[in-house]
This record gives sequence, C-alpha cells and structure tokens, in this order.
Amino acid sequence: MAITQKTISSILRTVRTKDERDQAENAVSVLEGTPYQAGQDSLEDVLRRVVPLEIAGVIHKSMADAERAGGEEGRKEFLKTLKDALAALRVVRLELAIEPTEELIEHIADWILRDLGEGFILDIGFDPSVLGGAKIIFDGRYVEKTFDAELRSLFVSQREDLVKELMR
Amino acid sequence: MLKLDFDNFLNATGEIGFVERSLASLVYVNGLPGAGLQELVVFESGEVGQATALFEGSVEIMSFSRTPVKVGSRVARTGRLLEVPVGEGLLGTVINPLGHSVNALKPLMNVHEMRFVEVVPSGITSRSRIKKSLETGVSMVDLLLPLGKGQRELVIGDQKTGKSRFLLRALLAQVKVGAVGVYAIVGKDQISIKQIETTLSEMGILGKVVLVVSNGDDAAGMIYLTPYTAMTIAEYFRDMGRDVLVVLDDLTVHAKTCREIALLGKRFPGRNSYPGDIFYTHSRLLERAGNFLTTRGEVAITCIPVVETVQGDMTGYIQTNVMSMTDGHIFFDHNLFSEGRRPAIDPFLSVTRVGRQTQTQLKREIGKELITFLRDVEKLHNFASFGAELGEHIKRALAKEERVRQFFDQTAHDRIPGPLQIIIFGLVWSELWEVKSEIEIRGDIQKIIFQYESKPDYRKRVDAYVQSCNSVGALLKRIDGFNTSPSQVPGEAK
Repeated sequence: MAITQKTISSILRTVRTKDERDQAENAVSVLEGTPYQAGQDSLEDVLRRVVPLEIAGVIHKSMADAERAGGEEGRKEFLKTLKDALAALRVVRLELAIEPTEELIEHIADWILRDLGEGFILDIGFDPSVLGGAKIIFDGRYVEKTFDAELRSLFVSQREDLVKELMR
Repeated sequence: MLKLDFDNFLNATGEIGFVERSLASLVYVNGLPGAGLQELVVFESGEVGQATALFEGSVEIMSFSRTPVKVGSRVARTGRLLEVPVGEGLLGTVINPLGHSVNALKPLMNVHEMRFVEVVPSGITSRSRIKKSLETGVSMVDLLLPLGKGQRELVIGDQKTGKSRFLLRALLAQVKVGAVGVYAIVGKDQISIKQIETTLSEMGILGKVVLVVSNGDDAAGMIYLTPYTAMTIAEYFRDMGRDVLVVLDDLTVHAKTCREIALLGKRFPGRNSYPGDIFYTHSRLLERAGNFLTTRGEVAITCIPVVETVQGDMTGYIQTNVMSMTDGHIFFDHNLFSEGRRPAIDPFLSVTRVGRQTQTQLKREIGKELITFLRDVEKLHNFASFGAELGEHIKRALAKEERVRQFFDQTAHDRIPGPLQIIIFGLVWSELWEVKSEIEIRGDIQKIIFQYESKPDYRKRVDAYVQSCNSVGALLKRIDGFNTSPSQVPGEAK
C-alpha cells in the first residue's frame, strides 16, 4: 500500500517542537510494541497516555487506515516511515528571554512553516540573560540577535561618549 | 590552563556545537559544520581542544582539560590552529605544552611572538651537512660515540640506569658554550619534574633552559603535545641564530598516550595496539631537528630523544621505530649500572652515524684505539675466567682496561672539557700511570680537572698542546708534562 506523503505530512504538521517530536517517537515505539502486550485498554487510550490528544488522534486514524489497507505489513510499513520522517525533522533552537506561551510557540511555528517550509521543528530554551530578542542555532550555525549583545557592543563602541555623558 | 573568551569566538565564527559524548580526553561534538582538522576550539568553560576527526554532522575533539567536559556544553570554533608564545622570556621558565607558566606567581614576560605547534619540517635545501662536534662533557660519549650539532641521537635503556643524569650533563656542557637547552618532560610525576628543575638550578644553567612539562595525570592531549611544543620553541631560538639542544624525555610515554587516544577514538589498532601512524607521529617531530642554513648562518637543533626499554630489550616496536629514525643511539645497560659503571653505556651496542665526521683526526684515532682495545680485552675476560695462570701481557692489558674504566667513570664530575679528556686519555694510555692504584688515579684525575678549571695558564697549556697533536703518537710524546705526581712514576719527572 502507498503511504501517501499527505498522511505523513498531516501528522508532521501537528509536531511543532522537539518535545512534541520526542513524544511522537515515544508513541511510535509504544505502537510497535502493542501487538506483543496483553491488556484491556484500547489502542487509543494507550496513545493518549503518551502523546497529546491531537497527535494521538491523527496517528491512530492514519495507522488504522494503513492496517485496513495493508494488514499487519501495512501497519509496520506505516510506523517505520513515520519513525524515519520524525528522525529527519531538523531542529531550530531558539533561546529567548521569556518562557514561551502556547500562542507564541504557534506564532513562531507558523512563521517557520511559512518561511522555511515543512521538516523543521522548534527547540525553545529560556535564557533570561539575553534580555530580549533571541539566539538562533540551526545546523551548527549560530546567530545572536539579542538586546544583551546589542548593549554590549554599544558599551564598547560608544564608551567614550557614554562616559562623557555620565560625567557631565 | 589556557582559557579563551567563548562568547567572542561564538559571535565571530557564527558556528556552535554541543557536546554529545565525552570519553576521557576525546569529546564528540554535534555541529560546528565549518570546523577543520587541527583547528583550535573553545568550550563554554573557556578551556580549549583541538579537532582530530571530522564526521558528518559531528566533530571529534581532543580536549586539553584535566576535568571532563560536560555533555551538553557548548563549543565554538576559533578559526585558527594551535599556537604557543615564544620569546627570550621563556628562558629559565617551566611551562606547560600550551605555553603557559606552571607557576602562577611567575608569569611569562617578554614573549611577543606566537608560533604554530604543528609545522612541516624544513626541506633539504635549507639544511647543511653536520660539521661541528657537540661536546657532552662525558668522556665515554665524546671519545667513543661522538655527537655532532644537528644530530638526532637516541638515548635508550631501562629506567634508573642514569639516562637523565647523562642528559643533564649534556645540557650543561652545551649551555656553557652558548647553546640554548629545551627539556621536554613528557608525562612524568611531579617529583621527577622538580628534581630535574632543582638539578638544573644547582648546575647554574636553569636560566638558559626552557622546561616544557606535562604530568602523568594531565590530559592525554597535553602529554601528546609536549614534544611538539618543545620543538617549536627550539625552532624559535634557531631562527634567532642560536644552537639548541632539545631533550625529549621520554617518547615511550608519548607513544602510549598516542595509543590511548587512538583506541578511544576507535582507530583500527596496529602492531601492539599502537595506531598505524605512530612512526609518522615521531618521525615528523624528529625531522624538525638538524643543521640548518638560516639568515643568521648555520645553526643547529640537536635532538636527544629518550626511549625506555624493559630488561634491556631493544627489539620493541617503539624502540626500533625511533632507532631507525635517529642518527644513532646510546644504550644504557642495566647490568653495567648494577656493576657500578657510571655512565652505564655499552659502547658495543651503541652507535653514532654522523658524529665521527665532526671529530678531529686525533679524536678519531683515540676513539678507534679505545674501541679496538676494549673489544680485544673483552675476549681476554672470557679467557681469564677459566682461572688459568695469566701471562704478563694479559695482566697488563687487564690493568690498562681498569685504568680506562677509571677514566670513563664520571660519578663525581658533571663535565670534563674536550681537551682535558684527551690529556687524561694520554696519561691513562701511556705507561706513566701503570703502577698507580685505583684511588691514586682517581685523585690524579680530580687534580687535573681542578687545575684546568682554576688555573688559566694550565688551561692554555692544555688547549695548546692538544691543538698541536694530530695523532696518538704525537700526544703521548710529551704527555708526561701533564702528569700531576711524577715522583711516584718510575723514570723521569718533569
């Protein structure tokens, strides 16, 4: 059976951050192990224990479709493809001066999707020393656009003028 | 420990890495896409490392820090290779392989230049034939196993056989004639380092020597770097027009450290688990010594690497490697040491490949006579051990051999100048000292050395006489003029 790129993309669209990717990978591991586990709980309940509701719903539906279309082999192929796709996601790390809210994460994720395309996830860290702005780390590259850096360079380049001003 | 400003380099290069794994001295870093081999990198803590391998998406780094690097630490590139500070201010200091003083109370002064630690050795066009002899002040070596300036002579032997004492005497002799000494102590304990420093200070030459040291408990990267830093410093003084004597003590520890690093880095093990390029590791170091043509004339870096053996076994991998890349070796025999011989050098198992071309005609003849005599007497010992009655000529030969051993015994004296060695040889070789006892001979040698060092007239007489002789025959003709106690000698007294 053909696991359509659309199916995988729909799942990946729900994964916005590194934490969510880790949860999704965890979900895939659980699903790979479920045929070998005895228990009363349904698959959906098992999924909801390890991933957020949104991700659980999409993964469960897609896996059920794959199983219906290709049986056990289809299910295995789907889980393998999903696992590889999750591992291939590239991480953009941001260090911000504030703890990000859900809205902020959504806003940044939309920007990433719009400007960089699919296949990127966020890893947001909290570093109050930056004061404002962000440190951006991607694929080993580092860009610092923070108030802290700006102020430091200001104090270096304008030192004499600042001292004169303060001593006035 | 060298600490660099991490944030500055991070902003300057625009690349970052995160430590994924830390295995003793090796650190695996995710990121740093633009890192190059041998590039210097700086950790978040300010400590430094060097990139040793590049993989897709990660870099292997050899850390110079004694404390383990934390997983998750950030790493930045510096965009430059490892350099050490060099200058006249290094003389008399004890520094680590990164070029910093080990004594925090004595920071380095007057070191304004930086030089790369890893350089390609000079080519053939900038080198010259080894012409000048290098005096070690040890009679046995200067007469039987002469060295030349620019030679690489290996010192090999078991531990505690007197190798370090010989090296310090060679340094003393060379520093006294204006050379610079660089002593690399590779992976030794603190006590040994302190002993060497104290001995150099007692000899009065510490101010003309640079000690590059690494302890046994330093990071493997630091131990690995030690001889290269020493050679870089030697090259600086060479370029300033000064002859340099470099001692690398010892390369066995260095080889073991290279093995440790290679095995940790999962390099395929070669013979005895050493990495396949262990020969290259040492050869590219020793190739940096030699006799060079510089803008300031012919200047030499003489290198004396040290290699330890176990139970006198010279056939080991590292031992034979270094023997093949040097211009000879001096073998310290543990059996001779336990017999009380000092230095415990076996002249039959030692070799010098380029030293003889620097000797005068007289010295060459002396060396030849001595080695032939010693070889013949060795055979006589085998004969004498049967316990049969010995003929007169055998007894005289054995007695002469004993005098020669007394002459070579240098327990008490750190340095015997070249002309004095020849005069004492002449007295020992002639019949003047035939009836003297061991104690008398030792006393006479001490008197001669004392006279040479304290009386300028005597010194001039000795130097002039040695200059005027070009054969052993000519030397022995008027040697009695230097006999210290002629009244005890049958025949004449002058």
